[in-house]
Amino acid sequence: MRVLLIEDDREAARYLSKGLAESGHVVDHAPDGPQGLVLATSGTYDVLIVDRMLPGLDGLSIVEALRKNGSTVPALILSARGSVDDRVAGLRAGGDDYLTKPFAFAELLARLDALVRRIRPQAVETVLRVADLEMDLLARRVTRGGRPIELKPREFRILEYLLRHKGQVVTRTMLLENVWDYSFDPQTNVIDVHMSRLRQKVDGDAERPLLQTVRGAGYRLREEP
Amino acid sequence: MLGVVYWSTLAVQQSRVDAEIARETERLYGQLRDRTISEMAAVVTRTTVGPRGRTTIYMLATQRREYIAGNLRDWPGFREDTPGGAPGMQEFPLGRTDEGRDAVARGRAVTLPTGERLLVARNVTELNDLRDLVTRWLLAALGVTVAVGLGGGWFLSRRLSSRLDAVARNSQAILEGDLERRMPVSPRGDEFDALAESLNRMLDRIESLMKGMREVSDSIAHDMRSPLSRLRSRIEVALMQPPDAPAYREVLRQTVEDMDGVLAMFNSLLTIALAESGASRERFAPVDLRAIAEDTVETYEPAAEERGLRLTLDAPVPVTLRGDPQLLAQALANLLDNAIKYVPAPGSVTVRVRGGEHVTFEVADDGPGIPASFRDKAFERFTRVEQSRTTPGSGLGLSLVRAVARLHGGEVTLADAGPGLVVGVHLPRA
Repeated sequence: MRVLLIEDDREAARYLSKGLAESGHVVDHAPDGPQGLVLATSGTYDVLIVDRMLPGLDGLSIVEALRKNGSTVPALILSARGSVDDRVAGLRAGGDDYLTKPFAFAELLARLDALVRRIRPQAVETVLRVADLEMDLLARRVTRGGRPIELKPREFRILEYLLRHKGQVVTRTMLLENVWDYSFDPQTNVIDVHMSRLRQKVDGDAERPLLQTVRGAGYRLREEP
Repeated sequence: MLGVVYWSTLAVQQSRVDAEIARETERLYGQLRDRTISEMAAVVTRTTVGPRGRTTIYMLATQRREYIAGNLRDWPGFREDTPGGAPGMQEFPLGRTDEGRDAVARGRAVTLPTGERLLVARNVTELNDLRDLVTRWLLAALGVTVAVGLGGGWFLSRRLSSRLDAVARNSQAILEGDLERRMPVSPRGDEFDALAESLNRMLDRIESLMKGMREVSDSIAHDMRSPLSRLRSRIEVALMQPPDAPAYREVLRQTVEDMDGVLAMFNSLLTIALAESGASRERFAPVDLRAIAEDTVETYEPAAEERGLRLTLDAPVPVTLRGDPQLLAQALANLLDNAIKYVPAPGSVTVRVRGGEHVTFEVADDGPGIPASFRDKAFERFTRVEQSRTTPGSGLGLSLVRAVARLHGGEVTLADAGPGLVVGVHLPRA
């Protein structure tokens, strides 16, 4: 996909561009606010990565200006400020996601992926599927190959989130934010334990495990067997 | 004040005298009108020798002010009558009294239609003496008052400025770096002392915050140095080795892991700083502590089970209070992190939530506990129970719990669960 990176830190921009290019994306880079706004309005991008603190015009103002002009291109805001209030300000300005520096590159990739896919119009689904795994949202029932799986409410929500992002990497932070609504990171590996229990229930000793651990990044529900 | 009362009494007395003279003048004027001179003289003489003559001075005189009748012989130095009316009350000397003082009379003169003049007066020597006396005393009192006022004012302003000077001097000294300096407090306990005391409390608070900041930066420096220098030497050693991609990968993987630890420590410090600043109080909303506890216990339950611990929740009723749900959840999560880290299997951990006048949530375990001598220290940043140095953790957990408790106006207690540890967080309901 085409990515516009608006970031004034040249070193950070260089490494982000390199990483995104290596992941198969086309990257344009704007080193300050005004140039970023010009590129964002003129070019056609699938997603914007906007640093919050920029010379000339700050990141939130760029996103706000774009939204006023009717642009719906998804924007991920990068910031060194990570308090709840900062986050709220970022999302209120029209940002679609907010990532606090420093972040893992895998986290950035996963979030970009989630942002771009979220924009595609989704029919109201009542059944989520991947391979032979099926989740009936109305009956709150999960089956694998027709065999029912008993899930606790939390496990159900984790699996629902994974199914909605099937094929994508879902990071621990994304799970904490979306399934637990926590803005902090527990020290204990609580997420991993929940995931291994979920995996036990979903995959068991199945021949083709669906729930993968992506080393250094998070988890992925495999789309293609 | 008394002088003023007395003064006005005198004024009333004088106006009564004036009124009597006016009445008497009018009465005589009526009787003397259209009479012959001898008839007039008879009326005046009769009045003079009557009871009135003892208190009142009368004189009937010719147009040229020659004596006709009455108890006054010589026409006093009165101002001339104005045509068609009398000039009103006037005072005139009466000669000497028996005691040899100057007597004064007060009265008025009218001209009769036939041209004769009638004078009616009263001896007001004593009244005047009294008036003069009161006036003198009043003036003296005024003088004393002014003098005392000026003196007192001067004294007070001297004292005021000397005390303000003391405050200014001390402020200057503090500005120049003597942070231990405090405002002087006198034993009088007046407004100045109240002000000085509240300034001193403020200074104490600032000093302790500064000290806290210094401690934090010292601790950060201390605790960051070891992972950072470890990181540095590992990379250095890797660079000294012959190029080997798998070895480099391993070094980089460990580096990322260590960096994550450093960042987690930073985040904890920032959260503590945020809670201690009290800034998030604006975001307080009604929260159900039981719901938070249910959520957190449910989150930690599998991890606890994995470690061979039984985690149970004891929260019979919903408990609402105003607070920051994220920070409260994080505080409870930190306590559970600690319990899972330090309680050996097979053990049990219980989360209790109780409402009432105060809100309490407790995490009780049957682990090794914390020695009583170490409990106060346990709250300090970067403190870890000595034997557990090997267990991972930043040592910020309890500091954060206490910062969150204090943000909500509460406190944290550590107690012996015999065996084990009970960490109690006590919060006011409001």
